[in-house]
Amino acid sequence: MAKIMMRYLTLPAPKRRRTDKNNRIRNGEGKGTSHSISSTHSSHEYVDELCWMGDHRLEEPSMRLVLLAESECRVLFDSATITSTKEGEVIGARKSPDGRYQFLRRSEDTCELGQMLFGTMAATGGTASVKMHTLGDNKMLVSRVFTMPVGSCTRNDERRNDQCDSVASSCDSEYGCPLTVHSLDGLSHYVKKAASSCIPPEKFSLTRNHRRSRQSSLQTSCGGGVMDGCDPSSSSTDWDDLRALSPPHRVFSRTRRDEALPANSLQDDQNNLMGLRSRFSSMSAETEVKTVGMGVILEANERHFVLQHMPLIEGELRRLESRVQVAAAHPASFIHHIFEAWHSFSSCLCTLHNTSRLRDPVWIHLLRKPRDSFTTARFCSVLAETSAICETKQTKFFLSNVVTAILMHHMAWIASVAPPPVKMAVDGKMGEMESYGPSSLSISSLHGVNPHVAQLLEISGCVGGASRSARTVVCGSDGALISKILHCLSYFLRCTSIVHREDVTPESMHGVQYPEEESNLMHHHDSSDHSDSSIGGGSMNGDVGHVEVPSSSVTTLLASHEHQSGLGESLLAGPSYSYSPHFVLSGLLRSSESKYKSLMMISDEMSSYADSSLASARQEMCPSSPTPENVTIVADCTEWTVKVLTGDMMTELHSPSESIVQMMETFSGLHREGVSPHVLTDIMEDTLSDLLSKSIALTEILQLEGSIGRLANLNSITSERVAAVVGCDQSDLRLLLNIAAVYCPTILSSLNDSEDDGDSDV
Amino acid sequence: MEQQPKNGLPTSPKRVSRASSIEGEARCAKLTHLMRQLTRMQAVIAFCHFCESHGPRVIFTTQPLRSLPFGEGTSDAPDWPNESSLNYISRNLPVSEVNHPELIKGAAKDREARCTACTSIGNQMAYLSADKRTQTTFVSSQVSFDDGVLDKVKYACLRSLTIEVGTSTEKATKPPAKPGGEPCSSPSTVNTKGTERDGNVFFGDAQHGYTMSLTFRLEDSRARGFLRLYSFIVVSSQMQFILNNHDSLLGHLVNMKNRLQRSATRIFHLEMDGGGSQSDAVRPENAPRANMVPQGWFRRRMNVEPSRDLQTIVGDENSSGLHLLLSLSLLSMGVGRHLNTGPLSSMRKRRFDVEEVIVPTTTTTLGRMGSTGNIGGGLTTGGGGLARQMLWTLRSESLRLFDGALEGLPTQDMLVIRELDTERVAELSLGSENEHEKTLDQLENLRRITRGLEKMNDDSLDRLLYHTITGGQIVILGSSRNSIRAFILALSNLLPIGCLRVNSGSLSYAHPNKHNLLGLPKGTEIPDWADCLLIQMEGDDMKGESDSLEGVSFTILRRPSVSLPSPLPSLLIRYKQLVIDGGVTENVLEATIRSTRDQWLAKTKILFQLMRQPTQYSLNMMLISSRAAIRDRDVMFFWLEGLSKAYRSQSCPSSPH
Repeated sequence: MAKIMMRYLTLPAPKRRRTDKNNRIRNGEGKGTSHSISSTHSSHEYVDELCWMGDHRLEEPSMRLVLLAESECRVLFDSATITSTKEGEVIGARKSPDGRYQFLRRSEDTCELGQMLFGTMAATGGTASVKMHTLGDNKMLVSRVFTMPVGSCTRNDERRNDQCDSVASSCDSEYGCPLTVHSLDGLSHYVKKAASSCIPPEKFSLTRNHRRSRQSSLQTSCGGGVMDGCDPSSSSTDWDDLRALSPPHRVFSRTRRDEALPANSLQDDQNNLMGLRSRFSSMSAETEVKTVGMGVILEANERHFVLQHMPLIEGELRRLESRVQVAAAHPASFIHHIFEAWHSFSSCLCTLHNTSRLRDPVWIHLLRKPRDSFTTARFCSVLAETSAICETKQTKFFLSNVVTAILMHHMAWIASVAPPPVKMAVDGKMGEMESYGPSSLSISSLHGVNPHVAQLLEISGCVGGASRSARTVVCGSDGALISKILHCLSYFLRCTSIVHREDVTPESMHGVQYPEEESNLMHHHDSSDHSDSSIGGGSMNGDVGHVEVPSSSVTTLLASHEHQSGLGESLLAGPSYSYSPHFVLSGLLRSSESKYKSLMMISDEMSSYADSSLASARQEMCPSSPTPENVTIVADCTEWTVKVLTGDMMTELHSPSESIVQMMETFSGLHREGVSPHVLTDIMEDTLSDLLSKSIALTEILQLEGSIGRLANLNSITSERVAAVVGCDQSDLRLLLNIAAVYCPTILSSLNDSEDDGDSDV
Repeated sequence: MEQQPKNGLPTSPKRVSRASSIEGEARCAKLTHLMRQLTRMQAVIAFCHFCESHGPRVIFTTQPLRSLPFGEGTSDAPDWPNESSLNYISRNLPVSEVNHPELIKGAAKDREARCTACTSIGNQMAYLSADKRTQTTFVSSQVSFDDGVLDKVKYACLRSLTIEVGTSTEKATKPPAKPGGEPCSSPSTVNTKGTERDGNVFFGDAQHGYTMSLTFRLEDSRARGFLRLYSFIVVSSQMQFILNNHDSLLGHLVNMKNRLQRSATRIFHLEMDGGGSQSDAVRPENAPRANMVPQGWFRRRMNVEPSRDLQTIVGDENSSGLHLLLSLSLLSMGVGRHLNTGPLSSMRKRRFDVEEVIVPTTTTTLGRMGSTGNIGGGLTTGGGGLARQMLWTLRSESLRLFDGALEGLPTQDMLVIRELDTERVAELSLGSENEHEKTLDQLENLRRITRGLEKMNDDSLDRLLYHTITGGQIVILGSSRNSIRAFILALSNLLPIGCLRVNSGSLSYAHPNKHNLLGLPKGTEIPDWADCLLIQMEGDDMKGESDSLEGVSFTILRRPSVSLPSPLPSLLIRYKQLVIDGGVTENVLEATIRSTRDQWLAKTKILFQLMRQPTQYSLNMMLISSRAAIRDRDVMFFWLEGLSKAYRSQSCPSSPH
């Protein structure tokens, strides 16, 4: 039987594999590091079979950052036109004072981008908003507009003035970029770090003319666009044209703008003066904000990636934003800081995009196709192989240890082993059900819940009372082994599966008119003239009839969504040389000498992650839930350790749960005997279900303790006693407690109230 | 699935005892966070117009409702006809019957000045569409009657029409150079300037919600610049909702936009041509500007009319305007149902369970579009194409995604229950409302029995437990039927349901093969050959209707011939430990016995599978692989009966190949 199992491993990968040539671990994700992958070279097939990679890679240079201030056309930064001189100098280009960067001619699309970023009217509220545009030249623009407290460029420092002047004088009015870099100088007041290093002249300038500052504030919020704009004359010409021929849409916006601006006559008359003031006068700017638009331009073929990962990208944009704020506090090194921030943003996106993903994560896949023999068999043989390597005394039962850690923190599996209500069985309401194997697919009767959101929350363990955000990293130097471990873990790391029903039958369309003309929903590639048909009667004019739907149109409709998998699923990644804290499950490859570095890296990323992306997205979705606890499990398969990082705490999980060890042992034994994979998974399900029912018993015991108070015989409750009553090994108690905490959050606190000899130290 | 987590999560778990389950609790793991979202706005679709007189106005809003008026409590809902709903579109219903206070209130919400151009169905009308399957009602009205939604939609409308600069949807998907020769080419030269900023954009933030906007213009001969500005917006508080459906939603909106534009263009040409027979001669002095204006422009008397309504602009002979409105409601139906909930099988059988109702919000006024018949008629007879097409495309869209929820398999006991006939279910007192309490009572009785036997200081308790869990026959004699039943049910907790062959009310002895737990009236003759554990109850004749065995004593009249094995089965030790432990309460006992029972049933499953393997294994090996030992043999073999038929028949003997 074992030989039969082995055969699976040599079978060609499932049909879904479309990208064979790309399916190998690429080194140096995003960061261009040059680690060798020789150690994995001999076992590519595992990586190929268990992980997949997209057709193309996202490269940093293909992305562009544009930072515009106040108006459409004041460029603070543009990665397309401000480049590092290291990457090759352009003759005639102006350079930054330190010579590290050069300023090229302003990009022609800046105005257009500015309009998209800011809209036609200055942003009304102070709220940061995210936007997405599809650009014409196969690009897309993801942008965020935010406000920063600002005083305009204060001439507080002669040296900087010189720079400013030199840059300004060498810059056509048409290209405002380098000049405006300095327009953020005044920000330094408002950034905490800068406060201590505040230079006297700035303070001096603060106390000056209040009236001016008001004018100036009006100017900055509203008039700047025209004044500092790339081409005020042409833009106003545009407006006039519009006024003549189009509805008052844009005209109105202009009007509104003016209405919002009590001093608009002043502005109109004194454009130049105001401009001067904005730059050269200083002000008390506490109340003043500057609107900054930050746009990231990506290739349109990243569209699906962007749509799918938007919550994460938005989180990264927020991080970038805060780094822009910090950079603005250090005008002298503004460009440099932005460069760094942009690099870290883009490499993060590259990692997110380019890292291989688990091919058919076991659990999600089995939910979708419960009787998929191939997946089940492959999982079992990979698990058996992995356990042969990692489930030994020498490896300190590493696999069981990781699985224990996963079950303790990624809690969504609990719901997957909780049986349906017995009443259904008694009332005979159960339909056809699987009677063994992993959970059958039952369809949620919850309305109005976005399955994508649900999946996202579940997969990171944010369920029930145990509101935590957990992720697991398997690190080591053997890519194939990591892939296998990740594959195995994807069975225990569970979430709702988003099912794409592709079998909507045409019979349900009986009587529904579905003109072929409209079948191609998004892409009207056909050059045939639609107007003809509508004028001439065509489908619109009422042949209500029972037009048979061409089956091809249905196919088109459905095919376009073939690859729309949930964000949650995309967070199960394969091995990579770079680490992204966005992944719920991932592998971190490293050379043996850098193992401590990787732990540091994960820890660092984790802390910076805490305030960003998913955490905030989750907060948005479930505002009433407490901020989830961030937990990262780091499983090291060179040292065979499992560490759990929580906040700044790091605890090592020294021994696995006995139940899990037994499960693995039983599994391996039976697998050797050739027991069917379906039965093997069923046995594992029973173990999990057993853990759940034991945790209920544990709950009862501990709740008794809490409710009755300290009765004499309970006062001395020990972990031995608890384990004996529950009927488990003492090493299981920690796991059981964590399970109990999901549906009975008070249990942990009640435990803390009573003596500590119980379970917390097991 | 529908239970609400109380105060977040239950602190005192209440469960149905037998066969499961953790029900409430573990399920809460999934539900807690999901339920929170149910109250939040999911998505609203609105149609907006930049009125030449009044500025940006929301003119039509469609939103899902989950509670009113045909929501969850379907029993209270009006009795909708069951016939194919698509053909049953229109039904007038007095608002009192609809019982929709929000809707009535909503009429007063909109205080903005409006003209015909920025009015659709007025404040006195609403469309209701009830979808039974998802128990969702879609309400379309001029503006939303929900304050929160109204604010968000208005804000999004303002941004959509006056602030945001969209990008053309064609640009991205079409080659830039259009082949010439389209009839609308001349107006489109006019359009170019006006429309270049129209199009699609996604924007939003947590505070105002997220919006997908599609801005577009319709040609109108009486508009300034021959164009009027409109937009579709989809507003949701969840970014992911819109983004996950982004392209398909956009596709639908673009489709509707295209239809409207084509209709409008046709009307535009008709109006410009003014009959169409005259030649379109251009005076020499105008020649240089001739290609900048539409054909017929010079002949036309300039007569700007700001308040032309949508039907006039797109031409109402095919009722596109009205259809549009209905399409919107249908569209949002698709949106509301992106989470499909019906089982696949039932879905195939059903057709659309959608009821369309047009409800005047006051019984007296039907609003300016008083012709509800037209709307309904438009859908049922001619010109229903757009609406139906939208329904279909969106429906298929919505059916595509559903939530494969996490839920465990039914336990063996549950499967067995399903296979039992109702008589046996009743005999075992399963599935009753307060089953958990009943189980606790049963376990209290179990305690009484075991304590009674333990006092005898012989192997009586071991005997009882051993015979129970290995399938030996236990016959109980008593004077009260209730007490006999209570005795049997108490013991039944130690076994899987499939192992229970119970008769508490027999009048004569029956073979062990027929009943392993048998209750007989005191004095019934037991044949000498019956190798059973015979227990007689004393003092139960006074119990009457009570199910409690308190004060009842037990005498063992006969012991089976087999001697107790040594060592005793592990399960026996475990059960004994639990039932005689005074520190274990009934609740703990219930949880631990259940978990122990399930654990051993799981071991039995492994044994079962090994027995089916083609390889002949030694018994010892099979038991060890099942995490049992030779002393557990009798228990395990008996417990094989606890496996459901479904399990046994579905299991395949070896690997799938």
